[in-house]
Amino acid sequence: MKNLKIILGMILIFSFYGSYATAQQDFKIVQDFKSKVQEIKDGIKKTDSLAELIQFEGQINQLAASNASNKSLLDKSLYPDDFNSSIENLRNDLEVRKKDFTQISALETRVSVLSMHISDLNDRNVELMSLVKNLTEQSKNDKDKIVLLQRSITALRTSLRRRDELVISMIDSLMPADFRNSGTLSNQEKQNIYSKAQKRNIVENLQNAIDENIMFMKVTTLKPDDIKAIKDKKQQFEKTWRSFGPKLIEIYSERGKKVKNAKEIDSAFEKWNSAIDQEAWSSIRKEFSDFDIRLNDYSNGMEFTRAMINYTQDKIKNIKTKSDSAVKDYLVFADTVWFGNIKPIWVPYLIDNNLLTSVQKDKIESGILKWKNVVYPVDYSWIYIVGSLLISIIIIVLIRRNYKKKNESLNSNDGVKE
Amino acid sequence: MKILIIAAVSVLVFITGCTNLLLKPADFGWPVESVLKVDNNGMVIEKRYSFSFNTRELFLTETSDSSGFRGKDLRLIRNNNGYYFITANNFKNVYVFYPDNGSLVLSNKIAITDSTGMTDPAFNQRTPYIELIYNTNRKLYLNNDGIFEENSR
Repeated sequence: MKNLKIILGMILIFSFYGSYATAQQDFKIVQDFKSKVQEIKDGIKKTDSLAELIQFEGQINQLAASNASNKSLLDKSLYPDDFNSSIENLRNDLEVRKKDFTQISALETRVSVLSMHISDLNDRNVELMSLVKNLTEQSKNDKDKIVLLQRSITALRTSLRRRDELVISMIDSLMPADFRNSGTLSNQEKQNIYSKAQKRNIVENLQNAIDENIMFMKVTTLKPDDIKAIKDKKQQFEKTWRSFGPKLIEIYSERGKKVKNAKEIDSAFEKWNSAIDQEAWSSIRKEFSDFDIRLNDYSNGMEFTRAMINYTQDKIKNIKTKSDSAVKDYLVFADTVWFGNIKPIWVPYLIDNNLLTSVQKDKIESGILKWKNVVYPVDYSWIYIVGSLLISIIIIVLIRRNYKKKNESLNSNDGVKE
Repeated sequence: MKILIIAAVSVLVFITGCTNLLLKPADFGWPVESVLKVDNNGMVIEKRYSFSFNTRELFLTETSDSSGFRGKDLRLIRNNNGYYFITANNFKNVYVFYPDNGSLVLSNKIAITDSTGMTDPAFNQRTPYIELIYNTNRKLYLNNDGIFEENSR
């Protein structure tokens, strides 16, 4: 019995010996497998091109084949993974990365096309901007030019809108939302974004778009709806920049390039914002100046209120006699410009955008009312007329009564005599 | 004599009553050894199995050097019976421990070499044995009682 146990023990040992004749360490097998998995994983992540990625297919297959005999050991040792899941994970990583490259390739093509369009539109915008400026001057003397000016402005507006959409689209293409929302970017991803941003002049195009939108507002007179549209566009640009800009500045900072240009975008948005606010005041100023009404300078609600009140007060002071010109001045200012134009068109916009308060509007209208009262003073003549009539009637009644009394006394005296 | 027999039977009955719950079979074996870095306090931490212990006394016993643990790697594996087999580079022995009340208690000290310590020792799980590989091509099969059999290439 004892001999049988020894024989069984020896068989067991020899079977182990046969399997591991080279005295392999299980620990080393597991560690080598883990290292190779990590190496392939890192390699897949760092790969620059689809062509380089293909080689990893072979490496994964080789890793699976060469470790198939250790599957049982690896299944137990790779907690919480196992042999199959480790290989499967690598294959998944490979597929995901392949998709990235396919997507990046498609985006690159799109960005190239967009870049060309943007460049063309930029040139066109410069031409149109110059044309609008010239036509604005010419239309002051030549009314025929007004139609041409309007057409040019419409063309410029359309061209700007298309270019702006392309710039936003290009930024989106350069850095997909997944990248923007991810906490960190790998060095490879940063390098890719950096080189593409450089190649496509992202910062310059964005700066140019902002500058031209500001310029557009300067060379044209806009209505509240136009300003709202520009404001919406600005918000869209700003939102895109907020999600993209900090990452781009970080990437530029690491390379010490164009940091200043990228940071200037923030201040460009402030300028744009201020230009939008000023555009409303500028358009209002033009509404008054079209009727030769010169108000003191203003660039906010308080200054505008003060300028309006000062103007109406000056007008009141200068009216010495009621004249046709005084009435005409009032009618143009109040009825045509204020009540006919500014109040219905601009005041709601100013109040909605916190550029003017209701109290300030009421103060302005109170000034206009005072002016009206001076131009059209209240007429009390009808009171005098009615009073005179009444007095006349009373006098007539009294005279008639006295006359009647006299006649009666005379008649009674005559009767006594008879 | 009669009293002695009665007392022995009583003790036997008592002991049987205390150990009436037995869960079996149980396998405590680790699939692969752990190689643990000893920290500056002599502690090693096994993250996968969530346990740690101090190795100062072990190194003192093996090397007679109270700071002999510094910068060392400890190799550790548990066999299917639940005994821990511990050794390290240049050790002459494999130490067999079992856990008890917040400590590891020495169960066996298996002498492997006489004069010089082992180079690159490593454990493999070969249930029901623990395979010890050292000096590149030396192999031993161990259990908690000692060396079961030796093989060399």
